[in-house]
Amino acid sequence: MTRTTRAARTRRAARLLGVALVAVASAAGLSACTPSTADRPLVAVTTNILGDVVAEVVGDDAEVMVLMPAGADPHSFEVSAKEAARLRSADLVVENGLGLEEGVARHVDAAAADRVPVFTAGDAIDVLEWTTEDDSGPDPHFWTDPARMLDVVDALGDELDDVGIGTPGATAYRERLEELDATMTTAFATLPEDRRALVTNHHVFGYLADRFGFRVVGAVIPSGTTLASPSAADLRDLAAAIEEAGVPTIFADASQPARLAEVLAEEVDVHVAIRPLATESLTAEGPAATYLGMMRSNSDAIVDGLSISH
Amino acid sequence: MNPTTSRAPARTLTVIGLTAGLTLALAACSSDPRPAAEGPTDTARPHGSVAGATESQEPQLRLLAVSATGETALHDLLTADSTDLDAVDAPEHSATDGRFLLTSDDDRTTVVDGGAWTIDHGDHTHYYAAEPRVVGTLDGGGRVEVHSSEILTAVTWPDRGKAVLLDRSALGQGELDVAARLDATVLLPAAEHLVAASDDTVRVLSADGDDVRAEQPCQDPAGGIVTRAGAVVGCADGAVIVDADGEARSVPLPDTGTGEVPRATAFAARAGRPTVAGLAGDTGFWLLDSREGAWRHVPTDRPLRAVVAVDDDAEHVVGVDDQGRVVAHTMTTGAVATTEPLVDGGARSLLQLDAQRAYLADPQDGVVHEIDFADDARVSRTIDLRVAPAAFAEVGL
Repeated sequence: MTRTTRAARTRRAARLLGVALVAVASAAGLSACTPSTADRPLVAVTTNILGDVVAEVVGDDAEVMVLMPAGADPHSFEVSAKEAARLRSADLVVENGLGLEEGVARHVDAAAADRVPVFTAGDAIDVLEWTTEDDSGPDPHFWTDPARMLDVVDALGDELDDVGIGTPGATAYRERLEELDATMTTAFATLPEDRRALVTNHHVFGYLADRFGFRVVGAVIPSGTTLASPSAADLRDLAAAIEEAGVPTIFADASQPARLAEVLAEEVDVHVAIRPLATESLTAEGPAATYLGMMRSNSDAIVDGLSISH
Repeated sequence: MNPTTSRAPARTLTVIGLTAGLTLALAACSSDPRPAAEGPTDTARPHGSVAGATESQEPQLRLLAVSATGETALHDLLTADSTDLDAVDAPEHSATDGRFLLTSDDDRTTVVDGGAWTIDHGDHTHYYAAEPRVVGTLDGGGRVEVHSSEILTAVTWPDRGKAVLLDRSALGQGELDVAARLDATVLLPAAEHLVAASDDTVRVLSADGDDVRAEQPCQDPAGGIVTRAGAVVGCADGAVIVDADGEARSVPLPDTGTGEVPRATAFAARAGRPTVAGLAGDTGFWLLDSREGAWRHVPTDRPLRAVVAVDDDAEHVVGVDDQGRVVAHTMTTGAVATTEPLVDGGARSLLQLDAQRAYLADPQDGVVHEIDFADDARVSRTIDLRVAPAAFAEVGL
């Protein structure tokens, strides 16, 4: 028997409460399903990264409804009543799976119970595990590896065929994914092997590291509360991670990156650049507005950041 | 959190009453095997999120203080801004779960939402911020304790042997919904079960309260804490630890070889960490590793009035001694660093901490001393609160 993760346990418990809320709302007589007005088939997609990929594959042959807004957190975005209703009348639901969409899992379950076919991207890939000192589970962030995204696109094409939805964009998008994969392979190959380390507090780059031979060095960014009056002790763990990795740039979300870089230099004589990466959500505008754009901008940032001299 | 209060009297756990309450609140709706398919709803919300809450890149740490007359103020540790909240009843007792601060007098208990909290999902962590507010009042007062899981908040009044379970997401939306009332001196919500102690027994109950899954003897249960490794209940001769799978085991106190050492009746640790600390009377403190099930007694030069385990790599433990000094132990090296006296040693110790800093509030001067415990117990900041705190919480944890 596999070990239940904390996240899975919490999701089950949250579903219990969700059940109660849904039942109460139903008793209060909220409106029922709103029928779709489009005559094209409807594909409902949970995350905006997969939404972009599905839209490229189906082209004009289907309407694509993406549940997760731009810039949202895939673990905890909300679904409106109208969207939840349309989800249950979709011709296909596409989800990431592997425990990513904690907030919408019960809506996907409801659609499945209504016999809507559900395609789970995580079922199409070779899954990595994350582990901490006292927990472990499947890593859902497969999209940081373009080769795994290719596996997903292939399996998605088969699923769309099965439900009778055309895939006019599949061949062209496959080629662009292969091109992305080749570009990243070439770009990362310019980095000396000992520089291929991501010191990061992002938890999504396991698949990228697996595919392209990077080490991920987990970094704890000191709380912003320490920056007012910092000490070497505050920065010891982060400085040790940076020195062990021997890199000139760390990739981290920090509320005050400039101040953090300054105190690292002042308190522990560690000189690094601090750059964020796009991680779990496409943005409304900018380079990370598409999956391909997000991947290119991340790989550019990684290559630039790790190429600069100390 | 008050280390000097007397031990709670034992009461009989009314399992039938608990079952009835929870059935009404939770299980009645689950008789339909697929109720989520009933219809769409505007009230459907993902875990950990409330209307108006924003997610952040780092813990949104804030200090919440209530004066002896009930004036309430919030200090944002990241921006250094202070805000006044609505006044509450004059507090005599208080407790916090890292988001909510509960204050009580003899008759009533008030819940204040600090509007900042953290959800730990193992491989990733969510940090949220929302508007702080006074949520409301529960009937019944006296010494109070509070412990939360992601979805439930358990409030216990150990001296009366009474407890209630609250829907935590409703609480976060300003609604005080009592899901169940039960008789217990310790009540701890875990993800898939409840741990309730009273009389001379710790009971592991299913999350819906229908089943008693396990029982473990525990004489004079007092004090409890939930860690990543399990739920801990203090007993006369040690502790009962209930792991994530609901398995209960007893961990007796070791023989220290120095005669009778008083047991711990309260435990404190950095949010979620498996090693917890409790006062050992005037002899020093106990450390309990709830993953390994191992006790350790640590004698101190002066009696402590409060103690909290940081459980970081250096295994820091932070206490306040009877002269009002903060004492930072580094267990890996045995080093002990001490501040000057910062507060009146006879006063109740209002000590809170996170991964990097400890906060000791001064009920007389209305200031909070921020201590960098890893840097020789350096006083890194002295923060002016708007009120002289009788109750004090660090939230966002």
